Amino acid sequence: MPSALSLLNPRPTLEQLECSPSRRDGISSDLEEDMRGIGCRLIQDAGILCKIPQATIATAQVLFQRFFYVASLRRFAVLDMASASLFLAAKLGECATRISSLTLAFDHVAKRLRGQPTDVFEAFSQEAYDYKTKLIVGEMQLLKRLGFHTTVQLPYGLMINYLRILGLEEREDVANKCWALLNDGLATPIYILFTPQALACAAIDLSCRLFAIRLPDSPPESAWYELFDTNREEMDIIIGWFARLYLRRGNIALGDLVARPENFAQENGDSVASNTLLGTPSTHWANIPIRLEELEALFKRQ
Amino acid sequence: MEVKKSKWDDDDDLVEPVKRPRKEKKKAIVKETPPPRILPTKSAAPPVHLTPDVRSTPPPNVPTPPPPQPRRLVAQSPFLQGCRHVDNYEKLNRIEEGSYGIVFRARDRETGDIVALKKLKLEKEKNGFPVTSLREISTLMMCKHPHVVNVREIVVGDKLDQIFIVMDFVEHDLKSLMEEMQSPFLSSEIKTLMLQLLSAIALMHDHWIVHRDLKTSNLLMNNRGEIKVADFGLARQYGSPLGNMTQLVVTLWYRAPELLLGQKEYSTAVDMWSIGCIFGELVNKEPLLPGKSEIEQLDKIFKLLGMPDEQTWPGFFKLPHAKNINFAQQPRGNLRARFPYLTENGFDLLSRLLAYDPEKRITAEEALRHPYFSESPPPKDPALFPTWPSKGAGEKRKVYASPSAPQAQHAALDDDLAGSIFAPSTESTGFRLKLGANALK
Repeated sequence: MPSALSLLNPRPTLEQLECSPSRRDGISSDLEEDMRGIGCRLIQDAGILCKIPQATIATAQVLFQRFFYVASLRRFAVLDMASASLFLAAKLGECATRISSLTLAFDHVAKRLRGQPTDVFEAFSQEAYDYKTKLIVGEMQLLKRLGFHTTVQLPYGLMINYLRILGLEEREDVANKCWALLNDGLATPIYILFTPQALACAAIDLSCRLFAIRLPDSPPESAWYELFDTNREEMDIIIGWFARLYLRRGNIALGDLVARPENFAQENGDSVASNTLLGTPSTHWANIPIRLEELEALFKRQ
Repeated sequence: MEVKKSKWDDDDDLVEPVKRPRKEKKKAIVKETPPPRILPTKSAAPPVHLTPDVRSTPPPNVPTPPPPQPRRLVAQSPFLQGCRHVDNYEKLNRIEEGSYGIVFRARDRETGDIVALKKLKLEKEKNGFPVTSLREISTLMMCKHPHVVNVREIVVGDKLDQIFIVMDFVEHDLKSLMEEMQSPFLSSEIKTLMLQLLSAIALMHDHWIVHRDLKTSNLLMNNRGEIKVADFGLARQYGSPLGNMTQLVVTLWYRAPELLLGQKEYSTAVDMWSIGCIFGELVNKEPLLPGKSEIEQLDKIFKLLGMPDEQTWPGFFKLPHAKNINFAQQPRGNLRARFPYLTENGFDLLSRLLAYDPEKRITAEEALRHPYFSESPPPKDPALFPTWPSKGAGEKRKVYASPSAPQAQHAALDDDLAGSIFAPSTESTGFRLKLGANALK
């Protein structure tokens, strides 16, 4: 039907995936993954500080991730683009936030994350002014380089509906786990590579494994996820990304988690990774560059 | 080499061809990068298609992939790529200028297509890219519908603040077209136009978008009998519960009474009121409620429809501005008298569109099924619409020096259809030519 809204997420081309613009600028894939990771973490934390709804925070992280498939981390600083993404997403989500609150929140979160003293800059200082300018320029760059394709379809709503169809709507713990997984997954490329349907199914699949809940999957032709337009292959790749994320960040293998789900216990009802798996934040994040000067300094050292 | 041809291979019609060929980026395959490689399980997908987009067919021309290579062809979804430069278009002439910016007519240097370029005004923006323009672009890009103006892309100039929306060029807008026409649209034509308008608005409302500025000058019309809803400058998505939205929307003549009376929460019904005003304007070829101020606008509404009371509009007297109004009691309106030639069904549709209570006002979906559209005369096939010279393209109406032949004069006495600029020969002869695709489907 031609009249359907075109609400599909834009997708990257093969060459963008194989050789991202940052890679071409000499940034290793490990470093890129770390820089993307810290950007997403900044957005998540600053978003919570600014009381922005999770759907909007997630949108911001997806926009941030997309941006670095068309632009290089060497030209655009993580901190600037992270704050610009959240600024833009807040407008798109009809919860526009003041620039000054955003810059303050990002400054605070960045300092805290890297173990620096969290002193606040003056409201009318040069620093505040620079922050603001960078944020506005970043927003325009984001729009321009994404061709104004700002549609972000998220899997959260689908996930809840799927749980309902599977008769799991009473299991709040499962829903919470799925929610947390989907939040953590924002730091990986899965939101760029897969459909929201596949993401929702993978989160449900993994959570149900952790809680030892059996889902209707036999005979194989009529497995539950087929109803939701997903296949085993996609779900396994997404779960692979989760495994990689937790392994990199907290050195915890997903296999261990499946064997001993109590390790996966969730605290404060928030994101799994951010609360239990990361260890002390400053040790992990301190050396990842979020400003262009820091990146260049890193290059010089090498 | 054809391996395991799935049953999906045949329904190619699901995959819409990408409209504008972009050479190097035609590869639609998404490849995943590092994590564990799991051998693909052979998936015999049941024919359940929740969305038509994803994983349709493995593209037939792709050489046999090695096993772990996933083959995902996502039809229709856009690529990640930046805006092109405005130099890809050659400016032809200026169409109009408004508070929102300037609209140019331009030619695509690559394809030769004629397009409209709308330049956004971005001066003195303190808070980054204006949220209204953002809403305009994002809602327009979401609403792909045969009767919503088609946005092709967004292009940029040399500086960051030069942003242009590239749209299909449409020859007329309904307002200036009606000013040029000598007699109103035929009822068969009005039905076609209303159905087109309603189908576009039904889609928008179905997806939580309110237009908030429907009026005849925002309805474009091409020479193939199709109207296109345009100017989404005030459009936005709303949610449930309804958030804070400004009441200062919709051009005064088309503004719903609940907005005029300061109701805090409003929704899609404001668009339906505007459609009612447009319907009346199409029938009578003059604006239905041309108020000069908000007070006069309300006065005109009350004169047309009678004063609302607790029955026609429960909660009316509790509205913020209702107390401040002290109009002479006008228990009965004169709507019927304004539309003497409208059929009973047509009148019923009009009064439902202009229902006082937003809750009771007809929705776009319901209006599409209204009996008015199934009674005689049937809606005219858009292909049979007459054509007019386009103002935007700088074409001029031919002016004939001599007065018109007397035939038009006395023919108009017994039949208001004859002698109009669109001599409806196909209608009176009793059969309808099927030309082109029926755009209403």
